[in-house]
Amino acid sequence: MAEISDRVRRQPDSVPVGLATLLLGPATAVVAMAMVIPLIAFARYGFNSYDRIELMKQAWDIGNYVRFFSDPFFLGVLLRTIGMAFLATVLCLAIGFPIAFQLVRTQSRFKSIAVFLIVLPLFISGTIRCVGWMIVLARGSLLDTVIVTVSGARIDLMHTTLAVLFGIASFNLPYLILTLQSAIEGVDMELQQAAEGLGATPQRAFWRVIWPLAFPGVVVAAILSFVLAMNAYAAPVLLGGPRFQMMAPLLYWEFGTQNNWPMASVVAFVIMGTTLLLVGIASALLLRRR
Amino acid sequence: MTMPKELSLPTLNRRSLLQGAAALAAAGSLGGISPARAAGQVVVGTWGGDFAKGLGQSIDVQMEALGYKVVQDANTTAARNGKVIAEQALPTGSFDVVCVQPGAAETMANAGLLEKLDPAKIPNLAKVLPNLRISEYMAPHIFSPTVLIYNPDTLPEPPKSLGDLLDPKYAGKFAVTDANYTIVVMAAALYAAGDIHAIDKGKEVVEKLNANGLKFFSADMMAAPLQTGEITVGLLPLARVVMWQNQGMNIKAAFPQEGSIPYIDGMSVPKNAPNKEGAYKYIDVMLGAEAQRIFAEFMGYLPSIDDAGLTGKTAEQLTLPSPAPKIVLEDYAFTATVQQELGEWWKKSILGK
Repeated sequence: MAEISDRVRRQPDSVPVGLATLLLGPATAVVAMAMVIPLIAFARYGFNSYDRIELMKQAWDIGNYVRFFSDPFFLGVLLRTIGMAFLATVLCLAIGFPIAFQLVRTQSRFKSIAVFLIVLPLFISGTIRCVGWMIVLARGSLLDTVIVTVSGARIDLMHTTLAVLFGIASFNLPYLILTLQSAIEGVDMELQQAAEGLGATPQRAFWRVIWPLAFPGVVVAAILSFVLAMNAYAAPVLLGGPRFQMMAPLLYWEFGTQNNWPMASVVAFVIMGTTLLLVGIASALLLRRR
Repeated sequence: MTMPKELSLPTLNRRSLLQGAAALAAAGSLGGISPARAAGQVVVGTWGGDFAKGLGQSIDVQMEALGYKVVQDANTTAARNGKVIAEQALPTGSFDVVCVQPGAAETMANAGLLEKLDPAKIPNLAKVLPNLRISEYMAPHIFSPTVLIYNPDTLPEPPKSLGDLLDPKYAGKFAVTDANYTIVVMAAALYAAGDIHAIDKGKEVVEKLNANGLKFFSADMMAAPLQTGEITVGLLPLARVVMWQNQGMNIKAAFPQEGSIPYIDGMSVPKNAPNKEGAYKYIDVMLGAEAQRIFAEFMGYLPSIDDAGLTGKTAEQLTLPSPAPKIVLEDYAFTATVQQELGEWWKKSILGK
């Protein structure tokens, strides 16, 4: 067994670098063609100018970026998007970590069923799941009836921040749980038993042993959730309504309603740039320090 | 019941009967030739759902009898228009026919993306109601006046004007659709100044309506809040009322006394359409009496031609009240000049407040 492991470890060294490059070349070229080139082309649009007749005029102008960063409206939408992404990620972690932890620890024969139930929502499109939330939160729904009956007052659930938060969190949760489960499974649970054997309480053993070892996985899962939430479209549109403005719907509005493709490009690259920046800062602060 | 000539309900005449007979004869004369090979494929960019189903029943069936294969490319307005714009540099685009609203047709025609429709190739263009001949680049398909819709159970006395909705008793009880914001502003301009071009006055009214708790629902979603009493009045095309009445809902329409702006859908041919001849034929069939009648019965929109031959319940439902309500067409060339600024104002000053 040890020989096989050694062979597997040595195998990458046995492939010449030139051959590896040759083998990876076609796939890399396909990715470049399909992703990078359109991205560069779309980034270029951001420096063009909108024209009512021609729709887009060739230019090299940073006016669209200046407009975005000098307009309180656009900045407000960006800040709201970051805030919602952060809140949704915290909510997902608070719900997802205990579930993922229990999934790793459980020896139950129903474990595979539990994993299947977590994966099941991914079989349904995010938009359809949001429509489901609309039915749950709408006026006259069972939930609305219960609230009115119990409290005697009506609380509008649709078109609220809370509705959007639940929509985004429910969309992200399966991804987050599966990522956390995979990270926690890499932690040797016997270490917790060892810590408890040496006198640590279960809570102390968890926070001093398991949590630090699982932390890099938690950060990766949180980043995944944050990135997904930054790009949320269906939840803000369907559950938040037209007044609830986030970046992805704003992008679609610039593109589809205003036909202002240069501004749509700017919104797209602001989302991408902000996400990369925040993820980079989080990685630097949370992972490298350890 | 008197109605303006251009809005009078159509009837099936001898000309359409002869055209139908000629079409049947032409189809028969193809003999054993495979229909799809005989005339080619026509790709239609359209909305999905009931609209696409209506096109299938009213137009596609006739086109297939003529030897065409019709492919529906269903998507949202933004995605459809975006595709036409994105493909402008390509020698051949995806669509032969694209369903458009007049404002978008104006924008795309200005950008040189649409084919000027040739009346010689689309004989039925001659039958289009005079008021709907608004663009040489778009054949009008359907129209429906925008009206104040209400639930008589929760609101026995309907508002007579958009201005009535400024009353605090309608606070939080009036809804419009975000997608048709230009019609909302122009309806407000019509109320405030009797002129759809008085945009600034219209904006003031919409801002006051917004301060009075204006709500937003998509057209599809407005029936439920009307039924539950969440809202009591909405601004929507009359067709929605017809559709919901046919579904058994107690929803009625009131024409605002200052005038109604019709919602219009049409069809255009992109300049790089692969099968222009097929596209012209499709539009010609769309403007035929049979297609117009079937679509009106299915969706509740008024036909765009003068001889659709509506009868029975559909004719009764689609007959405009007497005395004839004031119908004011949107000025699409004007809309195109103010659309960017108006859109930004709507996003920031109405939705953002």
